Amino acid sequence: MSRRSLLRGAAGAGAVGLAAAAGAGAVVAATRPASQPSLPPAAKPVTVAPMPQAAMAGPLVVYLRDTTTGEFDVFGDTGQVRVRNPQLVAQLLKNVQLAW
Amino acid sequence: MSSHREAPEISKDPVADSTDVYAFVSPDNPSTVTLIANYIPLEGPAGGPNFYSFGDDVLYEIHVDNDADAEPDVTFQFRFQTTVADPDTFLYNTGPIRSLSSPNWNSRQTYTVTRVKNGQSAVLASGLACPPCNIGPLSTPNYAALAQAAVHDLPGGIKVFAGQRAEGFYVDLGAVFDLADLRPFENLHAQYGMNVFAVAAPGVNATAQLNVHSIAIQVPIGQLLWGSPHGKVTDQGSVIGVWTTASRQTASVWDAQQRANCSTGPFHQVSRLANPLVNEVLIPLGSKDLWNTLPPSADKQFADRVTQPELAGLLPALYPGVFPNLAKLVAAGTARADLEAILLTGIPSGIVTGFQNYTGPVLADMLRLNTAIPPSAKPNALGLIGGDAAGFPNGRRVFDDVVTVELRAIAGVTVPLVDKSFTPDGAASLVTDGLTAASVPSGYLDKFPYLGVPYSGFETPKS
Repeated sequence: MSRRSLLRGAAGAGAVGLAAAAGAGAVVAATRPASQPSLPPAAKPVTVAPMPQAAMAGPLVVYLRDTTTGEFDVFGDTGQVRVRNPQLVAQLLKNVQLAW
Repeated sequence: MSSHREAPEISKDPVADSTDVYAFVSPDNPSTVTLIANYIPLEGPAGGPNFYSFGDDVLYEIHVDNDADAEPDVTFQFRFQTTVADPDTFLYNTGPIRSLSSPNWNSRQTYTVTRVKNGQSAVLASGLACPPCNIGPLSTPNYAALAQAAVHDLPGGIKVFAGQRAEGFYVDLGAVFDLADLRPFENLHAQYGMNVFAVAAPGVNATAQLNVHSIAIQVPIGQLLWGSPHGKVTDQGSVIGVWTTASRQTASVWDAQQRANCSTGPFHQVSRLANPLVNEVLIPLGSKDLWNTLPPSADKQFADRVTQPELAGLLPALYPGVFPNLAKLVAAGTARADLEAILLTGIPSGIVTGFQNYTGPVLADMLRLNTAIPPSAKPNALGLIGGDAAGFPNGRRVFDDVVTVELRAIAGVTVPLVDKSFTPDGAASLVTDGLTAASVPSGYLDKFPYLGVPYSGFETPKS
């Protein structure tokens, strides 16, 4: 699988952030499909620290401390949002495994 | 040291490592209080070509509690920005820097000061110039005047300065960290049977030719108080608690494409300091990093480390026969209410005649200053135990001999404040690392920012 298709497969803001953190934000923006598969969070994301709207432009950093919980933190500007989305995490891990 | 490299994690992050905090009624402007927070320990003055600077990615803060809950009521925030004029030269300066606007100055810092009061943030000033580091007679001629030009007057009668200063804290590090050797008493040290020291020796100031980076702000007293009765020494509203913190953003990623660190997320505290030597000497190694991340209001969990200090047990063991009364006190397991008052609550009225800096029962390491006590006409560097209520532990002045004060306090000299039946050992009122304010070659300034002109790289060390 190419890097481009790997990035395309990882949908949602978390995947954007992870890629942006690796310095590939522009690639993601250029390759984002018109209709993205929806992997909604299991619960309403929790604002740990308010994240300004402008932060969504990146860079964002995603921190996945424990892959078994389906929970991860997204950091942008001075904000932090905690998201619980087991489906997205599982999808992400599958994508990562493609690199092996 | 006061708080230089005092904990494992922060010792790896010098720009965020707070080293000393000072708070005192300004001697030349007694309607104001001067607050100083020092960072970047043990700067070698010749440390170029990338001379020392504050961290652009660090949030520096000086906090003031004025209602005795150990929570910040007034906070001054400082954020720095580095600008490199010409990235195609390796030079910090391409010629003499004769003014703060000199085009020869290649790598400079400016900063923003924000005040947070009652939850409201207000930028007091931005684009304020730091002075350059003191390099030498060719690069930074007339340095004292150059640096003094970086004292900025802000609206509301506030002065501010941020930049390099001579280290004003004096301590015999080499001896103290060699198993609590105090050179003036080292012939009495047990020496582990090695008999290395036959006679006493004078102290050596390990910081004598080193610099720090200081953030200093002078504020009219009324702007730091909350309105309860104040102005008299007995008014609890006259007392403020002061501490500094440094914080970094939670997430940090090295962006290989940008070749820069990407810091993002909310700021979290990585360094804290109020009273000298608390985290350094009283908090055990396994808790030091945790202590640095907590607010003073969480200090209750460390109270036993203050009231049962490890060093109080070491002194009688390392200096056999010198501290017999202290040894009995330690053996009895007596909690040191004197140290709790000095470091965690302030000293209530009725303990020292005409003095109090009590902030209530909340156990919190804050530098407590009774702002109603005027500056001393004849300061004594031993502060309160030297009969000078304008000095440590009533706040802390730049020249106060805090090492000696705390050594003597831990040795038992302050126990009679709370237990009249206790007789301190004769050595308790003599113990010292053998240094005085005169051990600081730069001396101190009699005006803001009070800490001395930094040592220049050219002149240090002396040949």
